[in-house]
Amino acid sequence: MIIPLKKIEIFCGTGGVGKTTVATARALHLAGQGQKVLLITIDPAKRLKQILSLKDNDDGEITSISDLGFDAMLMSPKATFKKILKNEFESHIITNLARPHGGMNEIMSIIEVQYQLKKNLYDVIILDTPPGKHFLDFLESSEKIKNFFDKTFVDIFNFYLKKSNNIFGKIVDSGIKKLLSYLENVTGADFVTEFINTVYALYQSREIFLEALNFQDDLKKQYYSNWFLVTSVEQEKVNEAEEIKDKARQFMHQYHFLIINKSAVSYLKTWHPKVGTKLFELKDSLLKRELDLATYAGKNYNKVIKFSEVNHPSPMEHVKELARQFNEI
Amino acid sequence: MHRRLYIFTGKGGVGKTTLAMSFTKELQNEGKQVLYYCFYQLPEKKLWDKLDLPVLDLETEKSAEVYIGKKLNSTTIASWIMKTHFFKSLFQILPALGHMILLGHIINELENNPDLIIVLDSPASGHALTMFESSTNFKNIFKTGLIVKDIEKMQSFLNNENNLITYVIANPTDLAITEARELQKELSENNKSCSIIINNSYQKFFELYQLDTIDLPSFLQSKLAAEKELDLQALTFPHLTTNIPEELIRELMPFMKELV
Repeated sequence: MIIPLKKIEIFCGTGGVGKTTVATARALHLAGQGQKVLLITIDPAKRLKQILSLKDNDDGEITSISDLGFDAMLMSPKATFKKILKNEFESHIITNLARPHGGMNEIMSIIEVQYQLKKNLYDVIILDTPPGKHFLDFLESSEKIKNFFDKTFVDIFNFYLKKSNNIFGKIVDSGIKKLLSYLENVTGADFVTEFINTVYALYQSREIFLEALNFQDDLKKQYYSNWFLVTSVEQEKVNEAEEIKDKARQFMHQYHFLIINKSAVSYLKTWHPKVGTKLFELKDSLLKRELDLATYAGKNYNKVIKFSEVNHPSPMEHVKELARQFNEI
Repeated sequence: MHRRLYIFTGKGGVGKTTLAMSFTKELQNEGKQVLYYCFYQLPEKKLWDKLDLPVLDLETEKSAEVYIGKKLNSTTIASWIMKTHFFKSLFQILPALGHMILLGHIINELENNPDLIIVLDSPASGHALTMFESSTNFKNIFKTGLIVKDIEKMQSFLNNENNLITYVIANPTDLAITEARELQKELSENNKSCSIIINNSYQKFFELYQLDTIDLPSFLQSKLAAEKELDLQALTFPHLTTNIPEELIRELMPFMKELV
């Protein structure tokens, strides 16, 4: 099987299937072929940090992994905000939401990736995505950004201008004034003022936000992106995996790959415990899991890549072994 | 003694959902009034039906509407506010705001019904922290006002160890254990009572059935060796041989007694 070179590669799937390990192995493999690679992880679990032994203060910075030959970055909403806000602007609201666990990771990463693509310093950008519903959040983020800018921002912006000029102050417009007064009742007036100022600051950088929408379109182009759906026999959430695939379909193109990770078939086939024993039951259940997944994969995917279980406790050795298996595809 | 709120989290794929459902079923068996809540994940509705699982049905926008309605003493205004484009997109762009409102709603349910126990099936570690941190972050953002009083009430409920315990589930692998320990550290720094549980242990499986570990294929040998090396002092549940989710959940129920 040939995996063509593309500008961007996306690794997605349910939790615990080895997305980060496989994506890192892919980066190592492509770097070995002389490609200039940037690996970005947007999962706040940050397994990449553990695998590559990155330091805490590296978040949001591109780090050169010199012994492996590629660059890596852990998504940091704070660093991304800093890049895109035009004017030096201190917002309490942004500072708090941009914390590592402030919940803005998925939305901000689409902006970060577009920013990196535009700089065009790499042959390939590899994206390691968060599991489950958070992956869908990532896919849907450009739609959410669009919603936010289309109407809300314009409304608030107009209101802000009117308020500051005090010319149209008496005109009760689209209900936004009423809305903000209700909001004041619940949250206090200070918050509303600061919120409006924050929205105004974001509005000044709206082009950068809206540019991120292009990224969504590019992902759908076959010449531009490779999609890898990662799964493993240990995956318990078959329904979740199906739902992710169904929802992701509208964002990706038909030319995608299914990666079956941690396959132990080759080991199991040479193991012959006595029939009727508990060990036989164990072998039988492990093998059945593998066969069920293989059947499912065969029915639903044209391009299936299988990786064997790696017998090594060290995450780095896993990466190196999987990179070797990438070479053999 | 039973806690009021049990949170199951941990690295992806370690069996959070399986254990949370099994624990819920076990409490239900003991005659407790218990509800399972699937927090910001894709719901496994077919499995709920098969298990006849008692489920708490809460949805972010509806929860927010109820909350705003209470604060403004008007369900009509609340419903109008939540229909505005402004609020809809605000909730979309700030998932943590929704997290906080849901968590607040859950605590409210618990305070209104002293017999109720809620089992919360949480997203993986990083996103679980987003859920836990949401109240602190929004308290810092709002600073004053009615909402801050409610956030403080919520935090005092969560910081009481008689109310809440968080179980961080891990597979017996280096990656999962490291992630579990990091999460445990962050949670205990935030005054949350928390313990690590090992799931899917082959070692425990071999002990349970008193099986000989010689003649095993190399991948199992190395899994067992890796487990021994971890030398864990945590509550451990065995790997089980069934591949059918509802069977697995039922077979794990007797083990769940140890979590109360």
